[in-house]
Amino acid sequence: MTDDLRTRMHRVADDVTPLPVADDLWQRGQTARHRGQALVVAAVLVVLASVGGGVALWSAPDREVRTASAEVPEGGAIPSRIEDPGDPEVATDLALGPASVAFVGSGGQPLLVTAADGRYHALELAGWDRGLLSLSPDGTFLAWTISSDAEGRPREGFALVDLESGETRLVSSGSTGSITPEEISWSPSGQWLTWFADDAVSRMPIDRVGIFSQETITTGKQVEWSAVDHEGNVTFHAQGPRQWMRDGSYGRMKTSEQTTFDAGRRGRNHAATASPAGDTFALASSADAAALDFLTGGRFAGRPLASDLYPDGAAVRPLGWATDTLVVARVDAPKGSYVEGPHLALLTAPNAPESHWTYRILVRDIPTAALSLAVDLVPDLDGTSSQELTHDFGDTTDDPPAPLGIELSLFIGLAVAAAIALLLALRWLWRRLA
Amino acid sequence: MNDRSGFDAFVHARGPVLARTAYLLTGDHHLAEDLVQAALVQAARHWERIHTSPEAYVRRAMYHQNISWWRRRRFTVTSLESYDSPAPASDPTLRLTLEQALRRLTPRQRTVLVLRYFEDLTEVQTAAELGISSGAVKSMSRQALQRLRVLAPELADLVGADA
Repeated sequence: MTDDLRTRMHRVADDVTPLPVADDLWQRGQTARHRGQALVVAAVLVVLASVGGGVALWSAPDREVRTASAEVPEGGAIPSRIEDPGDPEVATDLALGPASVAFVGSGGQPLLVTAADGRYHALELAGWDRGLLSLSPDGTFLAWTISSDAEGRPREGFALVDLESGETRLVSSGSTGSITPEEISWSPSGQWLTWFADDAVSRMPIDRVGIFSQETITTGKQVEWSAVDHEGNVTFHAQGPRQWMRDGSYGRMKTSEQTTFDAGRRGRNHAATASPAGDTFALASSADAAALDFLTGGRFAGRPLASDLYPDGAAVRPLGWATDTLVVARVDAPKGSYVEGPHLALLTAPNAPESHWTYRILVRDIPTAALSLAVDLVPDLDGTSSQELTHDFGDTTDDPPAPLGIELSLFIGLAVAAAIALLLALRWLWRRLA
Repeated sequence: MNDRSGFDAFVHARGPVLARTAYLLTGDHHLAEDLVQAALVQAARHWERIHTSPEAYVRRAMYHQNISWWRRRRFTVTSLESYDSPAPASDPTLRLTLEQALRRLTPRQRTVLVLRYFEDLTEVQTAAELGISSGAVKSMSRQALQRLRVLAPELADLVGADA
């Protein structure tokens, strides 16, 4: 039976006429083979590019780069991260527009962050002595101390650049000779500048026309700080607080007896800034205090920071006033603090009721070198804790990520080459063992 | 002998034998021609790897390709009356009846019969060729013979009542 079927099937097959076989079978097979190989290579490259891109993004210095918010507030903003950009391109033209931050990079070069786009610019500052950098509250002027003039001749004092026009001017620090300022302080309006050195205090109106008429008084006593209000009245400390009014009158400021301030806990050359109303002055404090000092209403007062945040104290240095009652300060906290290291904070001054006090961290892990901030860019508080006080500009350093310390393009190239080699090796093995 | 000449020699020597199997698998001269050529193109593509025993590769390619084609074709050209209706009694010869009956089997059933009764493979070898279990081969073989009896009652003696 099934033998019969077998016989019948062979008979059917035997009757089949020979089938024509095309001559180009070999060529078609080889073409298909090459096409398949090309497809495999293309697929592998696509996969590797995807994986490489993912790895590169993952290993980028900060994955928040991908989530940078798009809208920059009008007038610019303080960047949410202030990092040393490494070695950015040097800006030869200083007409960069308003800046948000100025600081000294790890290589000692002055750096500026433009307010509108958050980009970092290395500056070529004439006569820069690696000392002070001071940004005006609105970020349109930058002052820096010098050790030479534009031609390289030795000179002390400071220079000032209008970041809108790029125009630079050298300013001597005193009428009795050129002395480099120990500290520079802007009025909240940015229309006045005061500085001091030894026993001399100076002030100068900032005029975009370029007519800077500076005035200086010599006290005969060591000046510890000076601040100027929006009318040009200077308050400074030289064995006690003193005032130098716009009309030229000068005298000791009356202070309350029961609030004698422990001036000894502050060293010399401390920063001070006047409030927009001109009645309160924020003063730097030392590391063990964990407080910001104020001169307000004729008396000194300390504004302590929360001890649970800074149990081991913190050095606090005022950078400017965001409003009549809010001060932007740089806080340097030791290890073990709630927020360690140098960071920027916004805190209420004691000229506001204590029930209204607030304390907000603006930027963490800021560079350790001198840093100056355009405090006008801090937005008014809306009363919510979720309010964004800074802006995430994304990756603005121009430095591509460097996985494993290798340049990104080289890393991807090596990864692709390694993957292809591995693929070919596996294919060879499979063909030999299959 | 290089790859190309080896391939040509193989086609020349084994082409007719492969064509016989292809015809039984497809039941159609044109489909058989296409099936052989498709399998040979695949062989040429992988010749470097299979040149030591190309025929087994080509045969397996034919078996699977035929079933694959059928899967694609059945959605377009299969009519309901194609199956399970007896062949027209007007067929004059037994050979034609067997050919027509084979054509009305599914390609899997036909392939199992070809492998078992034309290629003389055992159930285990057939299962290995098709990548299925020997139980499935046995079952498919029984169903195919049963169907042949239904489709062509005059073949009952040929396929056996107990098959």
